[in-house]
Amino acid sequence: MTSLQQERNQLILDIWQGKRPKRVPMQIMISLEYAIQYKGYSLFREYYSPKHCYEAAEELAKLVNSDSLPTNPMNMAAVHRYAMNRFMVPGKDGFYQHPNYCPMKFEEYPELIKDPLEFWARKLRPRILGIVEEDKQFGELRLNAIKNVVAAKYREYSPAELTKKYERIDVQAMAMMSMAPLDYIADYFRNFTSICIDIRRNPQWVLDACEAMLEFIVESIKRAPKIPGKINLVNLPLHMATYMKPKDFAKFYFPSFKKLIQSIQDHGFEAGFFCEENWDPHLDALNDLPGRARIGFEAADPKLVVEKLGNRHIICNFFNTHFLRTATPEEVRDEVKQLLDIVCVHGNFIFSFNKPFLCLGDARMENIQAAVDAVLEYGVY
Amino acid sequence: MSERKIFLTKEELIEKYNLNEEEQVYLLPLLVEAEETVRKQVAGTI
Amino acid sequence: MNLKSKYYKTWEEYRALNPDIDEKQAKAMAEKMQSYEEMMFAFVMFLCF
Repeated sequence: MTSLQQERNQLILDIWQGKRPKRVPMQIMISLEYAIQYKGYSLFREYYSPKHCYEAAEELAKLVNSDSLPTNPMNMAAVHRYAMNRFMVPGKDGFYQHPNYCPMKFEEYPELIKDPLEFWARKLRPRILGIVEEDKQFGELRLNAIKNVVAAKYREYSPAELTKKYERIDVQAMAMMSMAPLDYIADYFRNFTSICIDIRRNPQWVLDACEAMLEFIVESIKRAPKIPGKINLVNLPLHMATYMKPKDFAKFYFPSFKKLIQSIQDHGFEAGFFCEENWDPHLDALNDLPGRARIGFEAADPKLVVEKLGNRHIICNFFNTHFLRTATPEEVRDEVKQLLDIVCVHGNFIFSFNKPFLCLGDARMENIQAAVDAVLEYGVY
Repeated sequence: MSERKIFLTKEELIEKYNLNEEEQVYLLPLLVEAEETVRKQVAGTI
Repeated sequence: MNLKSKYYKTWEEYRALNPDIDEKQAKAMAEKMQSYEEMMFAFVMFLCF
């Protein structure tokens, strides 16, 4: 390990241990789709080639001096395509989107509550994955086959290679992506609009489904592989909370979410979650969570977050990606400085943008670089 | 949805997945390899 | 395990479904059967994620 990589790792280790690091660490996330377009490649063509995806991610690693690797070269688009995944559908521009599809019927809640694994495997997967629907006997085998084919191609083009080559943080590993129980039901089983109606039509079903899903998710976390010696993160994007009244949040969302965070920590993982939209009404609840978590904020008021959470958790994101589209590099530097003045009070802030860039038009490279340089300059404690 | 054939050829994959010319360059070979893998497993002796 | 699923049976549930297993057999079987059950359950979970 190089000394630069060690220094970068130390920033993250310190922050997880509640110590003030030497400077604000940076975890810039740039989507592979952006990288592909930046390199002049096509989302219809090179996007499916691990070699080209690696090249595109490498280009971004060269250009963006973030502490973490900015772009992960891996993508599973070929798996979604082969599986005919109704939740990951390519648009006319080649970009994969998650449509507001609802595979579960309202009257099926009792089946979900009784045996979530059976319901997921037998009822919902064929409705979501076309390949499982049209090939009852070999659909799951086919799915496993394409996953293995894609994974094998990425063996020599892994993010670990780039991380090592460009001396980025490697002390942190993503053990798995997961979801809060209510989000799982809203994202994969019902949809955003249906779940809001379900809460009114039969609140007890929704509550029971959250508890059943909690146990189901906990079983998957128990089995997630851990890398010894690393901070093994379970990442959760939080979706539904900001669409709910505080009273509904307290009743339907938070209890099973809190138990999940406890379970993540009990099984030797760290929890990292991203609060989508504006969490200002729910900030107090975050102090009621067990342990220390890494919490990202998309649109919460940074002053309020610092005031309410103090040094209780690690905080990140905030910086508005939209700004990178139109501002000048000087304006970006000023904006970074202003944000750091607010959020660096307790030494528990990781700099990152509030959304990854998806399309080339989402951010100008000189603005991304200006933000990184500004953190290096103003982020020293 | 009609039942899927055990093995789809390259041409059948192009038609089924509506692959445009660009997608036939890198995506198609991955799909062909998946079909081959399944065929080997299903046709293999135990 | 708190999850209730037809894909996972505890030894007690398995025993209740197979009353012909005598005490001597049960003693020898319990640990192994439970580990096989765990392996199979883990495989189903692997396929589903």
